[in-house]
Amino acid sequence: MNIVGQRFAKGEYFIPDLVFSGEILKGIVQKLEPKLKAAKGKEAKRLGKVIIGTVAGDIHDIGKDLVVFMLDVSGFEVTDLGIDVPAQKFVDAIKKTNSTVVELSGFLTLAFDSMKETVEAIKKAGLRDKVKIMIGGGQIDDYVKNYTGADAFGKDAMAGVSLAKKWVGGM
Amino acid sequence: MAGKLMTLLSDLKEAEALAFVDKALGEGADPEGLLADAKEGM
Repeated sequence: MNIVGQRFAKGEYFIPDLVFSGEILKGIVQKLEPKLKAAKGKEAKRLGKVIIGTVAGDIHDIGKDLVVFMLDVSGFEVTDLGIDVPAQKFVDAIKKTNSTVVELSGFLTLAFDSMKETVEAIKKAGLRDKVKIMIGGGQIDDYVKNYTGADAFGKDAMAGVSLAKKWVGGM
Repeated sequence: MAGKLMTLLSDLKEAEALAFVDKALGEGADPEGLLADAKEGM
């Protein structure tokens, strides 16, 4: 975790600071991108591909959108499936994009069952060993992680980005 | 120059960070180095 992430973890920075730092990084990337493309002769390399969505039965998207934003500015290619996403849509997206990281978001406790169903659908499709699955949202802990069959949980947006980076070998 | 952009970003100094990037690019700085520096600030 880098400086802003560390300050957030220590309680020195808050979510608006995270968002603002992301906006600054976005502005910097916009200025650098033409030079990077010219230097490489192609689009700047992305860290990896991530699929994210709020699972079926849940429509909360503030946390998910924050993670999407942080992943994007951190260099990931993000496929955002939106809210109330059926398990099969995650399966289809994995097949279509060849993403290696899946992030299941949900704020309501009923989302835990949907997360479990989504993990099982991914398993049934024969894709479980091709992806790492992270859950995040409201009251997520190790018990919920184990219940759903996910690989890990992210307690906040920065933790989600750090995990994704670790999984794709970016840090 | 190394670390300057990281500090500006992590201190949330938007205008200074963007002006620094313009100046550094104008002086021929390596864009990949600047990007790495900025990411460290995050």
